[in-house]
Amino acid sequence: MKLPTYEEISSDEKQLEVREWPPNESLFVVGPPGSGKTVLAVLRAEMVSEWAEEKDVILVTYNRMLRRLLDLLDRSGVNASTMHSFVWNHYTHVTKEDVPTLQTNSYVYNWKNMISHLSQSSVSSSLSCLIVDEGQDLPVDFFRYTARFVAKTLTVFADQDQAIGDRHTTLEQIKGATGLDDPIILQNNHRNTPEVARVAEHFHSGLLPAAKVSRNSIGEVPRLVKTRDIDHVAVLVSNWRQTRGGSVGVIVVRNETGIALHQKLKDRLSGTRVDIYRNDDKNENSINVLNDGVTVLNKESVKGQEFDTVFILEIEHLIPIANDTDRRAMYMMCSRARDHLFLIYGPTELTVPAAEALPGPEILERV
Amino acid sequence: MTTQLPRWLVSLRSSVVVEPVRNDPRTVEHTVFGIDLKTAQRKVLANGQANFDKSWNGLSPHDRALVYAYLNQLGHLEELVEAFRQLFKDQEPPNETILIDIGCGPCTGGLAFTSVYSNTARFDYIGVDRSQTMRELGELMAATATQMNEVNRQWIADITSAKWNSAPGWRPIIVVVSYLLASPTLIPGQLVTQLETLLRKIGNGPVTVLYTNSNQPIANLKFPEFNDSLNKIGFKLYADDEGEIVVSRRDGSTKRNFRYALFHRPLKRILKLDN
Ligand SMILES: C[S@@+](CC[C@H](N)C(=O)[O-])C[C@H]1O[C@@H](n2cnc3c(N)ncnc32)[C@H](O)[C@@H]1O
Repeated sequence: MKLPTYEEISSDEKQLEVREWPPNESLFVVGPPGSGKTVLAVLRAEMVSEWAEEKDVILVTYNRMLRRLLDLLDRSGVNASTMHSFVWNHYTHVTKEDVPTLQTNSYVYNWKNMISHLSQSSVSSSLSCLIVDEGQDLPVDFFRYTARFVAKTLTVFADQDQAIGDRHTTLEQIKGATGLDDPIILQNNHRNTPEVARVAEHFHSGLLPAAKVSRNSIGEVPRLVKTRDIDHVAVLVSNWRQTRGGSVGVIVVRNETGIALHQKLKDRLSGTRVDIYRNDDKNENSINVLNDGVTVLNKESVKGQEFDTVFILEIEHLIPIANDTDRRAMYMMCSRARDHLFLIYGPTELTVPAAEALPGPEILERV
Repeated sequence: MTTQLPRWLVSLRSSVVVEPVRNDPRTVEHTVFGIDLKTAQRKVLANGQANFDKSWNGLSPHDRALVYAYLNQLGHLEELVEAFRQLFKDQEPPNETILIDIGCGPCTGGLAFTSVYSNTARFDYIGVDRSQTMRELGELMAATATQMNEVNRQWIADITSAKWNSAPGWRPIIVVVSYLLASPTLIPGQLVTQLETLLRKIGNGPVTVLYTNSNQPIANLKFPEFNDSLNKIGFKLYADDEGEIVVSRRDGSTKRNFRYALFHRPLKRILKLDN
């Protein structure tokens, strides 16, 4: 008998890594939480700009993520922009006209008019490369627009499984609008401990396989905690922050809870950064959630963020899980925690179906 | 070179299979449980295709399964042990491997795979056999082998009843199909379809299929359909041959000839979107 070795057969047909992708080719990448899409987007931007003839590489993301991108880009010389200002600049530059917006909402671009206007004038792509992060959160017309009039090559990073709410662009739509090939899946989760990942994966759904956890265990299992009232929560969070330090994210379901808790935490933690961050406030660029300290946010604002410790409050409002959107939201929220995760409820008991929707005690410790 | 089973496996077989057969009062010289070897092969085992859950002329289902393990399992183990040794050379299998042993009989693929680990084996085992008696004997052997203490095991009657609750991921899978394809109840295309459903549940990891069988043409009539079906779902054939191993028996070394094949499908890095 003569068999090849496992190494031989599995190294066959090895596929290119994202980092090895030729700089002058388009690329489509998808990856679950913690797979490092934003970091890879930055590396890709730096690599492409290194090889591009003119240094015209632009990284585009949706509003809230710009801050994080700029921090990562630091001194690399690559430009980053929000989708809105990027398109505004491009359109006004090539047409010398204002961007048409919807009559009903002057914040929303009238893509149809823009596209038909540009197709009549002979505008063609001039940018070497446009790199898009969090593509699922940008409108599909943005992709049509860029593929036709903006960039010679496109690199898109996306994860539709993390989309919360229904206003998102599917991977199929991105592919259809841009003509990109089927996406490469990122395989490794660099963010979460194996223990945190296990809780998040309990709520896994969607297209992408759960990533392989590359971090080692730090020996701490996420916990389910029952609290008496909001003062009790404030004590828990502030004690944790005082003894453990690091960045702490507190996710609330109801904004009133967030506002009350923010005040109590500020009172208890003088000398520590304590911020509240809401998607309906426009304060998103004024605070830096990456810094140590405590950030109170709601589930709509937490996307794209990560913290050393995450407390998810009011989970009785999140379980039992009603549909795929809720499941995705739980998955997304749990996977924000790098090291420590607490699911908090109370003072009322969880209903039986709610308790059953949670992972077992070996994965989520009961205290 | 002679293919030898690891010592723990020899003593495991001895305590669970060989001694119970030899020490049984019915067993007299040149017989198993008082039945001559030819009759045992033909009638008790129906050349491996018996319904092991039925008793036969005073032999209980467990007796019949023991006859199988006593007469036929050793050679199958040796072939698979040799195959895994060649496949993994001096390395251990990848972490978190899942072994799916289809038509597992008394855990033959699982025991052979365990023997490539230098210490305690760590993998997940899914033993599929339509015969409950075989599954029970398989579990008895696995539970007696301390090398398999850390192996998560599930035993099921057909692939569709596999329980898999973890989120799909990237775990590597090895599928063993040893002396199954001659089974009259088996439809290779259907088997592969059912297997693929389970593979998808487990995720996008690499999958290797090891096929062994008697080298009798009649036993391999269903191989072309099996090959085609695997091909259609992205497997590539890496070996397909008749071969031999040298094994030692009481009366010295002897050759075992058999048929084998190896298939592999790399992990799925591309997300197929329908457009
Ligand atoms: C010849 S034995 C091989 C056992 C083991 N693979 C070995 O090599 O020692 C065939 C086994 O396949 C099982 N079997 C036959 N047809 C089957 C089917 N359609 N599905 C599952 N198991 C089947 C039988 O019960 C029997 O245990």
